[in-house]
Amino acid sequence: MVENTPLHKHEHPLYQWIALFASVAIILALAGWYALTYQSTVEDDALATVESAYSATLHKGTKTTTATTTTASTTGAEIDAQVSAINNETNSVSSDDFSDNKLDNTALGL
Amino acid sequence: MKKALIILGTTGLLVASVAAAKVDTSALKVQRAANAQVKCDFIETNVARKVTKFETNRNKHVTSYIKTKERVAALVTKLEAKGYDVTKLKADLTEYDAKIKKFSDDHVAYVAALTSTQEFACGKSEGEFKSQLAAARAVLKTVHDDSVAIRTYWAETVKPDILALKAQKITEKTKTVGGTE
Repeated sequence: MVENTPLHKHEHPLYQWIALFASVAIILALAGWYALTYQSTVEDDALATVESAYSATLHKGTKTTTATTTTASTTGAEIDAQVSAINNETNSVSSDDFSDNKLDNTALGL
Repeated sequence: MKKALIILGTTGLLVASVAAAKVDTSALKVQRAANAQVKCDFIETNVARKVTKFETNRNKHVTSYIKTKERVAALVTKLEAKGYDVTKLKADLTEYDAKIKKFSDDHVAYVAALTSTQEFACGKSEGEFKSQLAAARAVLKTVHDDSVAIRTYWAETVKPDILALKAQKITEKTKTVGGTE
């Protein structure tokens, strides 16, 4: 005959259920914490990469703009200089060299 | 006898007068011929001087126009290498070159017409000389118009198109910087 001994406190079914739920809850909490931490790290890395790329692009863009402005102003000055030189060359001769009075009766002594 | 002497004297005077008149007429003709020769020599000299002067002017103008054309052509090459759209300027340059060539050709025709008046200045009809001179004057007007056309084309077409390129470069680069980089 089996002796009907009273259950030890740790052997009580309710206590075991509570322990099981507690363990699962701790595991889930740990898993959640890890997942959040990992994701945050990934996001931070990604954000850092994007920020770095953006910064580089921004920096590059600024440099390009500066260089372009310099080139444009240099070219603009050169264009102005050429236009001025051509103006002077054009003005060095006059259409009056071929006006009517160059061949009228007076000019020919008629 | 006395009557006969009077008639003889009168006749003598008449003959002498007619002879003197003939001498005067001949002298006048000689003088006129001499004057005409002086005049035609003068005209020939003047025409020859004009031909030389116009040849000099032609060379001066053509040299100047070609210099301006070469400057524009060099600028086109340089700006094209820098990425400018110089299509319009290239078309302008072709038109400009054509105008210079027309001026040069018309001027050659003008000098030829002027030179040909020389052969009518002496020994031929005055009408032919005047007709040839009128033809030369008409060609001179064409040459004058050609010269004005070249100056106008530079001032109103080529020059504004060159200056417009300054704005073109800045606009294009601003778009590139903001759009793709």
